[in-house]
Amino acid sequence: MSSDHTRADETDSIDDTDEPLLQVRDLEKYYPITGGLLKKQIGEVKAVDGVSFDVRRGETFAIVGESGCGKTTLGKTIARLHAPTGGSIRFDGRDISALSERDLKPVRREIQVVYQDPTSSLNPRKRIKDIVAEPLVVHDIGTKAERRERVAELLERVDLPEDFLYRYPNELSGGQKQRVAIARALTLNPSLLVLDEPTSALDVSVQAKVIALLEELQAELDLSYLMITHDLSLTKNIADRIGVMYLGKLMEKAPAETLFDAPQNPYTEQLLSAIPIVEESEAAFKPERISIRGETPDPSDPPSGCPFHPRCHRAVDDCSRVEPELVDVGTDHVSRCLLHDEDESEM
Amino acid sequence: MSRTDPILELRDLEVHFDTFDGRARVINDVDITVDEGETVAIVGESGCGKSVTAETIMGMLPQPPGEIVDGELYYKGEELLGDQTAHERVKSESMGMIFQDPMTSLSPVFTVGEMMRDVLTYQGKTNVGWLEIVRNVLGRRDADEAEMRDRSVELLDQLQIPDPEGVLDRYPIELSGGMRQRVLIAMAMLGEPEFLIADEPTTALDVTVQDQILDLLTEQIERENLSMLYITHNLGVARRIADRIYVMYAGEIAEVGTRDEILDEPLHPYSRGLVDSVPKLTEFDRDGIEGLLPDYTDPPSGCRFHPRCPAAMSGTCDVERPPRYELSSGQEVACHLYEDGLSRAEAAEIAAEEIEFDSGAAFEDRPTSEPAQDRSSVKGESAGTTASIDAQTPRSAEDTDE
Ligand code: SF4
Repeated sequence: MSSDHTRADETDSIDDTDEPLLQVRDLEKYYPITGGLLKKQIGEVKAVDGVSFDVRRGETFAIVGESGCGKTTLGKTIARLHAPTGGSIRFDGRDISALSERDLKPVRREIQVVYQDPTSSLNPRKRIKDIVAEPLVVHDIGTKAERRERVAELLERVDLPEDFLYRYPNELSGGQKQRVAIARALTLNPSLLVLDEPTSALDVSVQAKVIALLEELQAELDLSYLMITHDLSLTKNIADRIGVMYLGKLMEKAPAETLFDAPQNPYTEQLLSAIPIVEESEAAFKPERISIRGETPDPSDPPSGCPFHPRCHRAVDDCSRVEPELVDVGTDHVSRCLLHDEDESEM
Repeated sequence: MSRTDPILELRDLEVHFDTFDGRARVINDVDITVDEGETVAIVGESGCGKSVTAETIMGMLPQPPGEIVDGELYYKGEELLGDQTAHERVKSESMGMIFQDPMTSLSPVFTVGEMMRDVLTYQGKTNVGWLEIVRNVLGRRDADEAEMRDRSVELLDQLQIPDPEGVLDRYPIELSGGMRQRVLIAMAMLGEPEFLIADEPTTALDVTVQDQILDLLTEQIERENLSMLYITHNLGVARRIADRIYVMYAGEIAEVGTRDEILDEPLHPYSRGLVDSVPKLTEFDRDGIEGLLPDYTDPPSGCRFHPRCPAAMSGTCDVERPPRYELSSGQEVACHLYEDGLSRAEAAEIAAEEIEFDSGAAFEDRPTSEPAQDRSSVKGESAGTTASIDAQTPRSAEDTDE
């Protein structure tokens, strides 16, 4: 598979003395669609289609998108729970996209995933102490006493009382369970956490504290986060940089501030416009209201040209024919839209 | 703002549930008024009782385990809780209902057209007998059929469903989530209701689809001059759609006011914690709210929020249940910090001074009552019996990525 990580427009790092922890280039994950009696392949779903970005050390990079955009598949592919069908994933200087299961083992210690729903990600028949210790057992690390000590330390780190060690997941609230899931993800001292909608199953008053915890942990343990979410307002508060995904493709990528101050892609504009704000004061941060029309596309049969053209409020004739490339639209800021080529002078 | 006559009035509602752990006193003394032409939202987190309240109004409360212990429901002056026949009649003649999950409210074995036709045929009728169904099927005249089809197409078209004729012949499973939700709205509109009840209708949808549906719903409401009661956990959606907002906590009304009053400057400590916790485009407060929803079989004495409240005054809040104090602006707050007749400015000053959430114990949901081992089963956030309360309220968490 190609691993061309030198394409000028997608080299992310500003400071090349500090190589990004994760460098994803032209990543693809295609799923075959089979049909007929012989289960012949009749098509494919391009769940992740040529995605490139970096996660720098200590930063939070957020992937934002709606259902079916491929963000969950992207996270799982990066954590190598899926094998990519194209492109490269460099983690800490090493291409991990084609490693065998055996060679992946040390990588798995470094990249951990926290899922949306702690209820289904925690084994209901195990006590909390065993759930949190499990990665140590799998990787055959430490003596029994050492493991016990590590687990106690982790539980304290995520602000759960010690007596929770002997409880089962169903005795815990949603927020407490998510803390357990975070503790387990930290057991092996990873450097990258893939956070897949880590708080979207929680009530907001509980979510707030879990976010606070994630921020603290990041600062203390020098963690990098790849956060996958549908909640733009949340990313504005916690992400350093953001990539917006639509139908398997990155539509725009920018530092968080830039994305909200000066979104360049019409899809990003629509997402921002659609956020239901809570306080009047938020209105100042929203683009003009865009009336959203049209239907969400079927990922197995994406529109021709620009994938967003059937719903785009700025679409011109060419959009249904010509596929736009990601182009530079500012510092560390790329966007995919045919209109950029036309008004480059404005840049 | 001059208030017109209420179209719907719920008074002193009290609903209990029988659970494994005993009798859960879920809804405690809830009053809700919706004026003619007004949209009212009930907001609150999972388990706060908002869906139970909606189910009671829709006459859909499962009894048992639920039991309406007390309360009256007036629709245009007619009492419904004590008269099931009247309730059924009003429901089918005047109310439209929109639920969260179109897949469970739409039948998988009928086409959209068949379902819409049935709504029109049996509208206003309860307990339709087999004989009538047979007669309807055999005696259906082409002219009626065509008329029903026209009306269905017109509504689907208003809801921006592409190729409405074609959609009539399709099954729900063949439609996207956003389209199914619009079909559901169309079905609710078919009976020409004057009052809509919507229970988290956009919760499972993406934000752009949600935005589109809220637009369409607002359009329908304005076109037909409907009144609506809208249940949601999403404060932003409440701002989009509601004139007035009721904030519920632990089965009680914490605060009622206009949309701006509640969202821009909430007065009740719970509403304030809730509004502050939502991630916003400006910022948000990471402190959240300490503790868990109380155990409904043994709710806290005094103010139900006192074990979690940063402003709680011992000797008062843990002893006396706060009445709903009415400010001069008409806003009502069930909290001992306030008193009747305060101006909004005075009340806002009190709120700013007294209510301060802090991150002290970062442990957000340590059970506040005694060590709660298994009792947690009745608590809002956890498993078990909560299904019958309203923890089934799924959050906006969707991801059908694969
Ligand atoms: S009555 Fe007391 S405990 Fe209840 S919300 Fe007000 S201050 Fe807090």
